[in-house]
Amino acid sequence: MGLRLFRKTTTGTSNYAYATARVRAKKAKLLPRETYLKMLKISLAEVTQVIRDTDYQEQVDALSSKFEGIDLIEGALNVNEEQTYSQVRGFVEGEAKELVGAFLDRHDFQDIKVVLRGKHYGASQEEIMKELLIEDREEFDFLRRLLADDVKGVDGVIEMLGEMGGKARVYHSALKRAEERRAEATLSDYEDELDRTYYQNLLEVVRADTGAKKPFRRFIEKEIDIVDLLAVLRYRRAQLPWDEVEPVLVRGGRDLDIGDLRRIYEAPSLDDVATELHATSIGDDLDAALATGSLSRVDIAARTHLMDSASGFSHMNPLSVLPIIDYLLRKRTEVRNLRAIARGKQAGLDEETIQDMLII
Amino acid sequence: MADIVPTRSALIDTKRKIKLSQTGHKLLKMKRDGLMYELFELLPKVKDIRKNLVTHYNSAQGKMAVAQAIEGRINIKSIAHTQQLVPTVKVGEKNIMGVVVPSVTGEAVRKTLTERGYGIIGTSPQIDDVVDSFEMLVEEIIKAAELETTLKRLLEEIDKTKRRVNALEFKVIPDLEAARDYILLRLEEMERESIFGLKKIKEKARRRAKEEAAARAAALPEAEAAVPAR
Repeated sequence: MGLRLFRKTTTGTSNYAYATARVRAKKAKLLPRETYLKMLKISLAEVTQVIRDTDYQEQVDALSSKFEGIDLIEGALNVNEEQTYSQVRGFVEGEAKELVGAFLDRHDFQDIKVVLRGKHYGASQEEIMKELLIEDREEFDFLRRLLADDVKGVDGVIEMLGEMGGKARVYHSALKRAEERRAEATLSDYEDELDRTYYQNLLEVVRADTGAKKPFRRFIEKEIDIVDLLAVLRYRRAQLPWDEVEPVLVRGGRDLDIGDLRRIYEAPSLDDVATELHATSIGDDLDAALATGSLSRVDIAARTHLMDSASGFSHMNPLSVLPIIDYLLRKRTEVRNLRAIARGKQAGLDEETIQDMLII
Repeated sequence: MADIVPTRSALIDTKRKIKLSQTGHKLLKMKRDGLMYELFELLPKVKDIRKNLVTHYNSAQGKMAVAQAIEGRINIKSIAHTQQLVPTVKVGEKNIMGVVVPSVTGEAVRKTLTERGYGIIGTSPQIDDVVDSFEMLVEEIIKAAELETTLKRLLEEIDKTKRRVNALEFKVIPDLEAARDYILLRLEEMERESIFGLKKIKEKARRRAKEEAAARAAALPEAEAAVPAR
């Protein structure tokens, strides 16, 4: 939701003790690894029942008139995830609120990307609405203006964002920046610029290298490393020139500077990539995945590494924003894992394939 | 046979038709054999492409299932909206032994990572995998469309040529030969009739000459008796 962007630096006192106690309690409710492993062995109907019996019943009931089958389960998981974020936003205060808000802005940027894609394609307002994860009324009103029928194409969305002014201008200036980079900007240019803007804003928020922000900054830098690494590996596989890769990267990570990323890009094989990564904290966790040669495996290993890092950071900084971020990531992972199991079962994928997709 | 006029010109015309039909029959047989050769050349390729098509389809569906499981169907649907260059198909023509078959080429089917429209930072490699596999599937469909249509046209042409060869071999040429034989028979008959007629006339003339000669011989002593001796 754009209206939350560029919030003023919060001056109130943070309630880390209360907030971390709340997320600890919430974390205890998340499904353990054993449950996922059990779910792999049961039928789709039973998986659906397990999902209904856990935290998701309310959302399943609420959406049952709009969706059915696996779409209903996926919708319920998504709504539950959004509501969880809302709840967390609701009970954190002060600096924690600012940091959690900045972290969760990724979903608002995602919504803008969904609007741009829909408008680019010429999809109807209803169609695009179904693809959005709208958290509250404020966000609904904001997006509804962008989805109006008289807003035509990507240019129309950019123009409307400019007219809306206020904090919607963050998106507007990001999109305009994409046009400055390339005169005939494509949708991928707009999307990448929005993602870069999100991470740059996030780095801006955690720039103060002291106190509670410091470990959070380290975590964000690690995430940027992973995001850039995966982008470089994908460009490398697609054999596109480095000139096209460099401008896309977020940059500002902790372990990988632009020189490292270029070396990874130019590495003759994935074994050489693994060698390059050994010097970083990510390397060891990606070794096995890199050896398979599958970037999908590398992606899953990197996400698992990021979640483990969040967990490590939260243990080292129990009274900071990190336990909250750790919980948010775990919640996202739970939703992702449940969706993977349900969709995998529906598609008839074997147990091993589904297990490979899980972050556990 | 009733409508056949047994004349020399009809015989010449029928013989010309027989020769033409035999030449046509020979050429059509050669065309049929040539088409059969082309068909047998094409058949393994069509089988392979069909097999590849099924493999690519299953692979694409599998990757789509994985991508939907990891990214969610809603997100995949949204990413599908980013398509900028819509693949198009250009259909030309080429000629195989007189059979016009399509030459199908796809445009904007395989795209680079940057041409696909979706951002790289906010998406996962599973999306690349699924797009890659569907692009390959579309390529295979285009190849299969060309080869399978060619196969279908060749089969139709072989069938048509076979029918023509059979018609010439078992109907047209035998009928023409029968007509030729009939004309020949009739012409021979007519010739025999004509010779017989001529012989009859000749015999009649000979008989008449003989009678005339006999009559003359009989008239000569009477005349000698009437003339007084000197």
